[in-house]
Amino acid sequence: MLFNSLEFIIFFPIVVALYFALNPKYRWILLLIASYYFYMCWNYKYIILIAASTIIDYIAGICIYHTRKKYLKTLFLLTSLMTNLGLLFFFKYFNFFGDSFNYVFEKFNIFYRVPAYHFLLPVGISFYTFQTLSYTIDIYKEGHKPEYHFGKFALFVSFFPQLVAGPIERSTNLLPQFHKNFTFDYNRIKSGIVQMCWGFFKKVVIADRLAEYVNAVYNNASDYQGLPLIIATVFFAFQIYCDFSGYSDIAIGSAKILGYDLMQNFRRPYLAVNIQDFWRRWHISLSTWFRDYVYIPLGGSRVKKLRWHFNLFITFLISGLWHGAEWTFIIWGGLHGFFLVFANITKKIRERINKILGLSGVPGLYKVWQITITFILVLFGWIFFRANNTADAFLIIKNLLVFKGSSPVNLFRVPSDFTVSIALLGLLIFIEILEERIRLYEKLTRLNRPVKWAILTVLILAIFILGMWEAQDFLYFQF
Amino acid sequence: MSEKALRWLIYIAGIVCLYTFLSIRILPMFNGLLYEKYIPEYWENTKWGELYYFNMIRHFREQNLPQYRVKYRFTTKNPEVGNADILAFGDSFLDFSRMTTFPEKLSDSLNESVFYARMDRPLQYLAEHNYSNSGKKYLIFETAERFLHDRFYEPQPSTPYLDTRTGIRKNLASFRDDFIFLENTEVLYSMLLSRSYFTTYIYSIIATFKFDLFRQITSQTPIYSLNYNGRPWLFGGLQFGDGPQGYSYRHTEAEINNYCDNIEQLASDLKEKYNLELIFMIIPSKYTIYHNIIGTDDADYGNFMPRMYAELRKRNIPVIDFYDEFMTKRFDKLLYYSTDTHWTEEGLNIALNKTIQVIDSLDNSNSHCDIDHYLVEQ
Repeated sequence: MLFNSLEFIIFFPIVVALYFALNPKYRWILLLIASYYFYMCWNYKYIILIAASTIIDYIAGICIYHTRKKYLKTLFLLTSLMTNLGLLFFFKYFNFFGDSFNYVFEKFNIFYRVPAYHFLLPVGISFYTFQTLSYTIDIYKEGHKPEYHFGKFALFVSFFPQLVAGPIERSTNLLPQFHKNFTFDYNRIKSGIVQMCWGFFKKVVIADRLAEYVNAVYNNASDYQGLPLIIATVFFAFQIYCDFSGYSDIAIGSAKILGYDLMQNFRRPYLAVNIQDFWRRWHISLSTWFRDYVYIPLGGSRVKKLRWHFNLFITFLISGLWHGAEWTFIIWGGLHGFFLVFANITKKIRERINKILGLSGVPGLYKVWQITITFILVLFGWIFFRANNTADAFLIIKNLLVFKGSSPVNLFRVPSDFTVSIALLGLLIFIEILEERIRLYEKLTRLNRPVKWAILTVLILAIFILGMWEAQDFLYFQF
Repeated sequence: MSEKALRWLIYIAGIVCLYTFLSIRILPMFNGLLYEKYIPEYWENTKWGELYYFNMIRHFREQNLPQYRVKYRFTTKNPEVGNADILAFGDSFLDFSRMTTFPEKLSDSLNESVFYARMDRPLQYLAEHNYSNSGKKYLIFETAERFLHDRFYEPQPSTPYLDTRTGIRKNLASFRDDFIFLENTEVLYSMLLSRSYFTTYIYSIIATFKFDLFRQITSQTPIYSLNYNGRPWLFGGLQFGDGPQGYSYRHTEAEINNYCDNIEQLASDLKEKYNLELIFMIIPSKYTIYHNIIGTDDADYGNFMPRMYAELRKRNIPVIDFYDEFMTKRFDKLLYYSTDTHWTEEGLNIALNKTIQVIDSLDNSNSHCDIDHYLVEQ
């Protein structure tokens, strides 16, 4: 079930109404049934994978906690790791590695071929496997107490607002909330509704509108040069941001209405002043997951410089692979790893140049400069992320600064489409800058009632009138 | 808004949504909401071709369209398959009920009983209905141009479809598919949104506003003309594009041969098993005939139909070929409804006369008849 589908718009109010009508003691049952139904609407057969992951991690968690022998703890952890990563590998990466090996075999005239399996990629597998992995790893490493209530643990794995595209929650944040009894909280519900509306606005009004232009250009990369490619790349940067952060807002907002706090997943990433800052603001639940379960176990920054850089690079390479079984994603991850390593190596030189140019003396201008450079680097990475294949990506880079060919406006059905797209981006950037400076939502809540209602009404009307309602998948569903 | 009001609002929204949730699963509830009632096997086959209902943009609403009639296959006139003189299998073109349908007209014209099934797998159907050889008969197989690829890129199945599930397993499976996890949930909800008493008006206003401002239109009807010869025109999605169903797709010789091999195999199986002679009819897509309206050139056509007919003739498979006649008469007469994918009575009559001519030429026993007696006035 997609958030931007009529099916969800019908499903969610039913769940909310039943949730508040029910005795708090039994609400977890409703949420568990709703979560399983939510997932099974996509493909009911694949629920078996979530169920398997739930059962194994539930048992593994308890066993790890109660076993005193170290090797048995490790054995149970490995069972959990192998199950989750095994599922992930088989469904997501098997064909990719198979194809890559076959290519190498062919080059060396080896007549063996890895067979290909044509399975549907289970939606959200990268998210819920990572979420359950963190649960068992935390018990193993940190000695956290396991969840004994099987139903609530199953709900932790499958909680529908964040099941298919995160935020990837930590057990320490989400599980305890399933033991609380939430009362009907007016302000909380109101804030959840506003966040959901904002998420819908970003997804169906901005992201899906920009997607039309981006798809037209990127799906016919060889037909375009210069400006259309640049505009499509900039549009894609905002498309993916609005798409994914919109999804996260709907997820966080819907959980908030039910009484649950999910972690923040985006914090105005395009206002980052460097790549490191970007990753503190972009897909926070995933970047902190990689930090805690890959980067730090590798030694993090508390090792020799060369090893530190290796740790950084390898973490981002794996992060790229997590996003998709394609070379384009691996290159994208590698690029970000390279940017970070390069930034570390050149830190002193850059500081010296800034001193000579006197940029640090004009902090406002310096910040704008930093944001612009970071955004350009991120944009460059997005080319690989969005391109249909590596050949297309290199072709786009080659043609990016060749300025001839059609006007970018020609790619829109009518000029007003282009104007509205630009206006929407302007509005988004304005709101992001405002949010960076002030607590916008709190300011809005302090406005008088008619103004608040007017803003909410305009937002809802814009969603229906300007929204592209032919349900398009969220980009991050494929990961 | 007070806390109490919000709580009640949530409950009311929940009840409304629960009703909607159930209504797409329970027909009387569904119809209770709809402006124009849904009749299974009836509504979808008439309205799904009526492209205006996909987008609800007011500029495309055609006035004074003929009323729907009860479909031929639901009338007592449609004989049992074993008792018919002629069998006809095909898609919505033969079933289109804004007028007397093709099988009914054929039956009236030839004064013979014509059986019609809306089905594209005749071998399977005949096997399932235990059809037995009762002398030489004709089987007219009709396919819309855009569906030919899907129907003949591989050989047609000849064995009955067997559902191996029985008893409670079967009931549970059908409960799951028909009640819990409906396949077309989103389509049914959007139908409710665009066609229910409460939403149809506002839906149409928003759709028209979006179209006026952004030329935003559903991907099901992306090609249109607001005014050509005094009327609006809509074209369905599959008819153009680059896919094998599309207008400008260049089929390779191998592809044409593959389709024809499978059609030939069907003809041979029908002959061998049931003594039925296949007569093959392809109905051109509306876009193939009226592409000029939106500025597409004749030369862009991949020439699919003429190439198919030439190859089928080479293999001695009787064909009902009215492509050239459609192309010649396309601007003299309205051969397709301008906001529907289906043909008009004018188009149907051309096809009917061609069919009568083909049957006449095939049927030696009819050679003494005066064919003009059967032809329909165009």
